[in-house]
Amino acid sequence: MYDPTVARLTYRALLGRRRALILGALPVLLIVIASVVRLLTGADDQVASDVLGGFALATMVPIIGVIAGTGAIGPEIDDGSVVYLLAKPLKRPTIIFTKLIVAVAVTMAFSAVPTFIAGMILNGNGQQIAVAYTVAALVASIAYAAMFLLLGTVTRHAVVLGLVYALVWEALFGSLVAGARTLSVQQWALAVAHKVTGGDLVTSDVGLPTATVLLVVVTVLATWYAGQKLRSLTLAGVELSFLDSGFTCAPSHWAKGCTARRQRGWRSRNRRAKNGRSPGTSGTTSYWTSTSYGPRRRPSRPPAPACSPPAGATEDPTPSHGAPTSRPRAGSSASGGAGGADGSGPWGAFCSVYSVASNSAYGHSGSVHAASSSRRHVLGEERDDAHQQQNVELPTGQLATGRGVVTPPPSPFRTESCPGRSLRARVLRADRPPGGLAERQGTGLRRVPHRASRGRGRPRARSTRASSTPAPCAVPAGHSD
Amino acid sequence: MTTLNIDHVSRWFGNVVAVNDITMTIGPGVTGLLGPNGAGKSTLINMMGGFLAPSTGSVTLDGEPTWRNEQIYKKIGIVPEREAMYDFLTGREFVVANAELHGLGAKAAGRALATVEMEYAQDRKISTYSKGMRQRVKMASALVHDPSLLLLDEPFNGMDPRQRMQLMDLLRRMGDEGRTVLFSSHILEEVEQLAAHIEVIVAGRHAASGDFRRIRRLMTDRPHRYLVRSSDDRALAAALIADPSTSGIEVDLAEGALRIQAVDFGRFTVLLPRVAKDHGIRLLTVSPSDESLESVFSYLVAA
Repeated sequence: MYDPTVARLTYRALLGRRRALILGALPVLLIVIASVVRLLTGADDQVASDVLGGFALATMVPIIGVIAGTGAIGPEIDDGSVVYLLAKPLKRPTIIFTKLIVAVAVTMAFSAVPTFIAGMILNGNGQQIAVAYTVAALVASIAYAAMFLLLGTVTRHAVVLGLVYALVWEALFGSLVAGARTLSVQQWALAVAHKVTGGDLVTSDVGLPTATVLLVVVTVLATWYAGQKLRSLTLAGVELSFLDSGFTCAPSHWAKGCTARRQRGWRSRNRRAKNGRSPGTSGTTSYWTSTSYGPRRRPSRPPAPACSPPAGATEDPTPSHGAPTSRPRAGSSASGGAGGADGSGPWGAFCSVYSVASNSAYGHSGSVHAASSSRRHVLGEERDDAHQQQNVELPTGQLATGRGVVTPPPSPFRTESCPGRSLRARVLRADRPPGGLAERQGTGLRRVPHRASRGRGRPRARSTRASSTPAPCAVPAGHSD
Repeated sequence: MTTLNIDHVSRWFGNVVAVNDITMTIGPGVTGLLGPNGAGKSTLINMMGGFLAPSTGSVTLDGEPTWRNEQIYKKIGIVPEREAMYDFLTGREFVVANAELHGLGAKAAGRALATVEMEYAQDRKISTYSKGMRQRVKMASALVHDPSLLLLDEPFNGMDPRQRMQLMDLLRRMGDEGRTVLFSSHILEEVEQLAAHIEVIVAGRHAASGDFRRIRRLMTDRPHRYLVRSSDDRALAAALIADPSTSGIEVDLAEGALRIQAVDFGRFTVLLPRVAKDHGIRLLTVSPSDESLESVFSYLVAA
């Protein structure tokens, strides 16, 4: 149940960093306060009890519990180094139990010992006050460490939540609402301390049996649950942050800008939406790769697959300015399938959206064609993204092309990944106007906003690389400036 | 001899499919997992390493599931992609701790450090290590219990060429010893140099599997596109299109350049300068326009 190596690593992590300074600051402060109070007021049992109860037990012990409890595991999970513990033939509950022991020991050392010293300074353990609060601190250390270790295992906001519990629930609600005191580690610890010393200065609102049962239940339950959580702790790679952005790109989209779109996370989309620009129409293909995403961070709002063609975007050519008005539409344009906007439900988003090049590839003046292979068409069209688009529902296994619906040749992929659902495809019309950007804009069609190429005619060949290729699949059809 | 079986595995996060119905078997020797960024390589490796449950399908190591089964780590060594380690330890302390967690001692740790040639810096704090040194210490921590399966997620990221060579030698040696070594990469050349067997993942799907030479041939034999500027574009175009190595030439008037599609890479590269010389045309620019990894992958997938 206990592994000395895990304990050593945990202990060094806890005391080796800046955390040790914070851990040490509060006890020092307590002893300083105790010394000053003693100098100013002399030995007074009531004052001693107030200082120990109000500062040591109500503030210092929970804060140290938060630092030690969450610090025993939280940072490791956040930065991913916990892998080195998890990838061992070691029972996960053993890891938790060992870390609990270390957290309890550290909390006790940094809270109970200073409490005792402060009590001795304040009134020389008169009426057993120093001993009583030391016992309370010891008991509270166990429960706090277990609770906050669990918090550190389940959430990355463990420190904040822990402080909210300790300072808002126990201190604020505890003083205002009598019932809240029943569910307070502080009161349970005081009940035990009251029993140990039998004095009147240390009292609790909770009876000893209730307090003991609750202490044991909370500690055991928290430890057990933390062990279970660690057993199913999932580590997702950094790419999860890309995947979270909600893309399912057809492989044929790889060269067409889905790369850039995929790597743009939900955060950047939100940011642009806030800036008053529609996410779906922003064509700047800024690469940004977030590597700081932790294993458990999820976007607050499930973002939408940008590769889905927009539902109903064709009827709405209004330019989007201003976040509040543009956002809902922008959301749907960037995302057709996320929440079933197109009626396909969550499974709809699983279906990759295939964009099929029209067969009038290379329709520019001056082209010299040799015998054309179908592959050349696909490649030849990769670069050209100013097409009118419309949404159609096609039966499984069929793709739409400029010449109509065809059944594609066998490929290593199943073109249909969602059993029972039809493939959403986008038709690229063959009758797009010829010529360069200016002409297309003149017809109301719109090339993907593309800084590199705007006003300079065709993008140069090198710009067809993914780094600057606009994302045709994300652009609402018929959407113009 | 350890075999990793991946059977119809899919994994989705919310409404996003990261890994889509992949079936593969990874046997002894070095296997490269190749795919563009975000293809699902790390997700797959995490599932292989038991850090992620498959949404459907099963990942088994010699018949045992990898998810929620700590005992598999007796056989698996994992080199994670992430940099984070116990930076406050020295290299030796870190590897010794890993050995102890496997129930082994300092001797095994010393051996592992010697394997990755990190003895010279073993008493320095990990926080002072370079990226390559970290990578090697991570390797040592994964090798400490002599695993029969080694999983490496993007092991060559951030390494300089010399370190890369060393690590490749090491992995090659591991593969020759009969271990199962799987590493992921998005760089074709890396995979090609190291792995005889390649699994290609694109957009969460299993795009290709097999001998690297076959895949490489597929990749080099694909139509190549060039942007060429010359003193006489039309004359050059006319001369080039006569040869079967080209399949299409566009005279791009706006750019003042030719866009050439060559179907026979080797022949075209010889042809172009010769034709230019024969016709007295001066070549001003010759640049490949689709050498990006994405285009290579998209070709592979379309094939």
